[in-house]
Amino acid sequence: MSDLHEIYAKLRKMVFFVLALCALGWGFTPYPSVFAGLALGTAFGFYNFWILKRRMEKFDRAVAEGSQVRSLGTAIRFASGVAAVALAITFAEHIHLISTAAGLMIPYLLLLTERIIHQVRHY
Amino acid sequence: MTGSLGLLAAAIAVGLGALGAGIGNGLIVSKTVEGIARQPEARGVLQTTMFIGVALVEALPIIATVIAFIVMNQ
Repeated sequence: MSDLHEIYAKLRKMVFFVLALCALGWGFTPYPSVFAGLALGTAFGFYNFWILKRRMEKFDRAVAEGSQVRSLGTAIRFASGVAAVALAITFAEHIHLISTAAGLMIPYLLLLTERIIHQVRHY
Repeated sequence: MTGSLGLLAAAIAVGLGALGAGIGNGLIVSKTVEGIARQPEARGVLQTTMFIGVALVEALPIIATVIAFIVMNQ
């Protein structure tokens, strides 16, 4: 199985691809607010993954050293999801709310897809 | 803004979501630490599995929190 950094690098590549697609959709389709919401949600979802990766590394170091870990940053991830939706509510005329909530889940879908493809190829 | 019943509904949604995430994360972390203690050479694999597990466990509570926040602001 691949390393944590490898998974994170692959996910980053896919998220940038999705963000590029969102930029194209924002510029060239009649639904700019929907694509803006998707991009915002994806960006915050990826921020969640970055926090999770950082906390995992901290957890790994703590286990190796035998020290304690206080939390895995669950509250921060909840708060960043709420922050994305709060931004969408504040700028409701530019950012579509439901697509922001859907965009928050895009990195999770990408992670699942990447893992399924990895399992099928290697096992 | 919502009434008191709506606020209660949002609180229950967030609370139950966080409860599920807490139990799930606790199980994942405890089993990972147990696995690392048994087989320190498998640390990388266990860490990767834990990363994916924690990420997927937390997806639903995040959506619960977001939906509760949306409902509160309707």
